[in-house]
Amino acid sequence: MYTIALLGHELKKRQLPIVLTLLAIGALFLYSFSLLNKVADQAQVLILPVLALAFPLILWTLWNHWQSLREEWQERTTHLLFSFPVRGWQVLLAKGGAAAISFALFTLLSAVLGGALVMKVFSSIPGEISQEELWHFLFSDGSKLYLQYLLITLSFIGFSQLAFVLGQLAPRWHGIFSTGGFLVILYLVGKLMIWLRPVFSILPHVNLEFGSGGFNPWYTVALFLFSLIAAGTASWLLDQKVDF
Amino acid sequence: MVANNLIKKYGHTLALCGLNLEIPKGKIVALLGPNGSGKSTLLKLFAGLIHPTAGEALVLGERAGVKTKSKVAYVPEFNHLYRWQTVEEATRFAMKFFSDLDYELAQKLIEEMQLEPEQKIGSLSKGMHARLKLALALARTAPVLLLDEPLSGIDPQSRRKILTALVDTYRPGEQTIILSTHQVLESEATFDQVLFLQEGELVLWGEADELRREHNSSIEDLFTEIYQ
Repeated sequence: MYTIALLGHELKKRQLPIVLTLLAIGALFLYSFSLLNKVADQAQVLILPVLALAFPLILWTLWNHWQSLREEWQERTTHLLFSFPVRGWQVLLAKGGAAAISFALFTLLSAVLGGALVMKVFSSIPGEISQEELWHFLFSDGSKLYLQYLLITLSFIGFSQLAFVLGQLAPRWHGIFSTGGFLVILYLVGKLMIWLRPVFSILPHVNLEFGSGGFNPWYTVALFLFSLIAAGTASWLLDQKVDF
Repeated sequence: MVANNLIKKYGHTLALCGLNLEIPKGKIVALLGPNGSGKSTLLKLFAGLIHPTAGEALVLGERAGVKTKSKVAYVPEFNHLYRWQTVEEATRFAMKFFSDLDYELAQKLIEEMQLEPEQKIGSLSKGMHARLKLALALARTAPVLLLDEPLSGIDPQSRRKILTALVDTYRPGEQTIILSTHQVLESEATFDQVLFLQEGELVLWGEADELRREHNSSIEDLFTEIYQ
């Protein structure tokens, strides 16, 4: 119950950036649609939202999540939050959950508008691909790629939580230690991935139905599992080591 | 409330040096001392917000921590409420975590403290913040109330309102209040016991009446004498 209460509180606190981001995504696609009649090769229009959203959305979600944690310490509301009978994992789950929900909203809107844009672009290319096939590819391949995208974002949220809490253990320069901690965590995770590469290579890959491509999903799965360990460690540190 | 050889270090700075004390249930205890004497550290240790370097802080027989937080109402010196919330939202938010928070009593106290439920916390003055923090803490039936400098830096009218509300809602024998303050003169009539801290050590401790009798002076004068 406490986690739900904290989650509701986080979403309420973040409602303005969430609404503004959704409006910005809507405006971007509106602009992309407006470009369709102005360019010779309509497929080029698809590049704009992909470049503007794919990576920046992860960064924006991470930034908001980081800010949400930082504000608690900066405005000293940690003295209220941690005077409640709540555990570190409940606070971090609520904050991570709010970030995940906002990210899901951003990507859901992007997927709907992006899907509509793709349909519009391909419908203008006669004989290339049927509408039914296009829908099928969008759903089957899109959902596989989306799951990867979501897991990567969630993983970064988990790593950022550990980095942030590590920074709070430092006697001063918390921001520098947190940022340094984040980079060190990413470096270590990268090293682990390289070490695990022979194992991942023998595990089954995921094939995409559009074209002949595919990808190895196990890196993302491992990344997500490592992030769960990171978030668990951050929760333990909050309960046992961090002073407010 | 018990402190067993309680030590707290911040880096190389020793804030509490092996404090041993036992605060009986149902008393109003004044925690007195100059800045940096360890008052806030002691209150935070009992509130479970910081961890002892050594020793232990016990609240109602249990180590201070998540389990004891529902039994403790803690009010820090600064504003710790969310500035974007209204007074009403802050009350309802606290109610989600503290089942002992009496909403009607909170509303009554907020009204007595001359605060409006729809006011944004970010727009409140320091005195109003102090009154709101105290109203939310006093609206709870928590057996332990920890007040860190509730009268510091606020106007005389707010100080009077805070002390009146404190005396009116206090349940002698049931509730233990630890109050750290520099405003000794105004609040000394409420004290049952007094703890004098200096550089993380207990320098004097006793029943307020006994201390007055033994030293033939008010607590205010004793405070001035000790920290001169």
